[in-house]
Amino acid sequence: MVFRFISSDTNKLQSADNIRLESLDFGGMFPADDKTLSFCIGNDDDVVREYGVVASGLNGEIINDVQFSLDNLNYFDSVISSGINPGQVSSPVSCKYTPEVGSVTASGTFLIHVDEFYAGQSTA
Amino acid sequence: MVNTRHDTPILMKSYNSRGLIASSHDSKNNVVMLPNGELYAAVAYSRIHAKIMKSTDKGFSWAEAKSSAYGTSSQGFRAVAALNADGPILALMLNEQTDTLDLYYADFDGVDTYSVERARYTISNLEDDTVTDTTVVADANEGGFSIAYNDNECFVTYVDASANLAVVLASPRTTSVSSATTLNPTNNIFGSIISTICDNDGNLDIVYIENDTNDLLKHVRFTEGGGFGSTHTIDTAGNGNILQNHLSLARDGEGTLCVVWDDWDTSANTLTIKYATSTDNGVNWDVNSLTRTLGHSVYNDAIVSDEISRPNIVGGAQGGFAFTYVEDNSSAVPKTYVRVLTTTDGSTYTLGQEQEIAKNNVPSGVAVVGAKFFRPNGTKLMDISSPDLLRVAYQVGEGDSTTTNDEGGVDFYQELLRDSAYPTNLISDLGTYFLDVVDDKSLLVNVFIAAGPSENIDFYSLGFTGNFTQRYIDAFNKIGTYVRILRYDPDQDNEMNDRSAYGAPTEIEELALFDPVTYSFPSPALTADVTSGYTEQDIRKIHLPPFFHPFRDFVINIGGYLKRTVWLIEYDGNYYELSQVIPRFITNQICFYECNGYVVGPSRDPFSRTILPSET
Repeated sequence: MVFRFISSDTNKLQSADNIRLESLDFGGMFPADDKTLSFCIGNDDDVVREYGVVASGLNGEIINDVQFSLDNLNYFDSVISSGINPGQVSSPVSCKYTPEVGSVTASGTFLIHVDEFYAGQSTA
Repeated sequence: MVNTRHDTPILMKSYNSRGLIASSHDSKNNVVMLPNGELYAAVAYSRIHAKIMKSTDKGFSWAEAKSSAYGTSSQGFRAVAALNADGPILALMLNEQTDTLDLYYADFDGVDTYSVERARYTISNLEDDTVTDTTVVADANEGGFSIAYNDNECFVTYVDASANLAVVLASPRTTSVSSATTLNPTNNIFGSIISTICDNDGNLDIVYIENDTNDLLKHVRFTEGGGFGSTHTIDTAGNGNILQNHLSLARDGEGTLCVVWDDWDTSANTLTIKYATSTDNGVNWDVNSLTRTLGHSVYNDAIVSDEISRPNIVGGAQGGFAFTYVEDNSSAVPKTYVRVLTTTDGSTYTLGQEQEIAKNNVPSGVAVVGAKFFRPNGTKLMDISSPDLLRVAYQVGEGDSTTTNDEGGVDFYQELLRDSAYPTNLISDLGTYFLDVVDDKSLLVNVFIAAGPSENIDFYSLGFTGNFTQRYIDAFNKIGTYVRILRYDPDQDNEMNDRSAYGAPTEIEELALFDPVTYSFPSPALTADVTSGYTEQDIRKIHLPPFFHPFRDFVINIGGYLKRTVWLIEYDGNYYELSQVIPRFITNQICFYECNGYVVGPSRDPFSRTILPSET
């Protein structure tokens, strides 16, 4: 693995200068509520990278309610943050979670899964 | 004044009795409720007395309504009660010395009260004057009869002197009963064990046990005007097994019949509780066995020294059936359990999980040896899916009638199924999600989904926070006042309903805003029994910061009282009880808690008063 998750609050431009982000916490939410958290991806490789971001994990009910955005305006089930130079940090990726009405009321988890590609590599 | 669990009996005490539970082979209800809410229970009060007991307060206290006239028999009595849709109760008391069935009914005065009256006849010698007492019924010591009632008539079913199955129609308001219609069974009827249920169309369903090479559990339908129909075998006992002394039959609102019974392997000393359902009026039966919970074992009835489960079943107008049975738990203590057999369409029935009843009122080491269902106040139709509507009477103690005089006697209590078997969860039922395992390409994200702001949870620590939350915290820091708060946690192992049911308080100092809402001079309490009685009229509005969650625990202590965490706040020399706590949100962010504070005084004791849902 040659990337790291970084807090979007960072003001350090170099990936290596940032502490790895271990987890995110949406905290408490009511059904139909929505919250957005953001994070960055640091490229620790020596080549330009693209990063595909998607929700995964064991709880399909949660995963279906998660979307991502690169501009905090248009949200999709997955996004690709591209053109991240070696040692650099990506722009913030927004993650929005909107539990449906009728969701199981409990604490749970999901995973933000990242696949890395070489710039120009097919993602198919 | 009620202070101990003994204040909620169905009957206070019955000595040397087979009592409520073991009074009849037909283990269906001998507790009934009239339309005006009065409860009647027919019990074998001792080996020589049967009594009809009456309660006008939902079963919390009982008085004798009628006692049997016989007092010298050494044979004993049994009693059954049943209820038709119009209300009259019919109770039968069996004098086994003279083999007569005395019938009683509740006579409605046309306004709102009932009185227990003896019916105008006695079924003497069970319609057979030529036989001797001991041969009237197949089992002289346990004369078998069953009663079923509909809107129009009463069916009394018994085993006559010729070991035939006999049915008579009776009404307590007429002077005669019909001639008996009899069915000569293929084999001997075993132990006079009968259970019956009827509908409003004059159909009477009967289940009974025949002795052949193996015991047979059989069904036959009796139709008013048409007599007996064909018999059907429900189940055959395994090789060497016998069908034990209790069985219970019920019909639900879908018209399905369900019978529950015991199948006892005498050589292996194992007893299997079985149940069977029929959706075609008893022609075909679907037989199932209950799987015993790991660690549980067969209950040995001290009365008859036999393995037994004392099954009892009730059919709901909706939702299917519920039945109870007795087993020894993993500590070898007899306890009574309930299971539901639910349906939504009347054809598919699903067996629910085993739930223990009476566990909140009865210490863990004390035996609970059976239960009867009866209908609670104000409900015409029982819905099996609602434990709020299902009430059970249960028996505490063995009631060993083989001794001359029980030292301990037995107690009868009652509770709703929700009290212990299906307790109401005052916070939302939480489901579960899987926990994901993070790998080197993933970031773990935690979420917590709450049902709504009514939940009894700490919203602040669970992350219902944001900029608005912070603004209110800042506001409390600027204008709040430190107050002293005392938290009293209820003690599960206490029997009392007052301050002693709580431990020492936990003391907290916290910022709060304290406003007068209403204050008036204490008003005289005109209904108080002392002239100095008065009612405090001092209510304050108290605002607490968003991170201070006045959570409450709820327990039913072993005295049977629902106790909750009590919060008191001290202000200006007075104590106020925090009540009606409401979390206030802005855009789903907890901002503050708003509470009412009631001054604590002689007219308001927060440790013993009744809890209302709105006061949590």
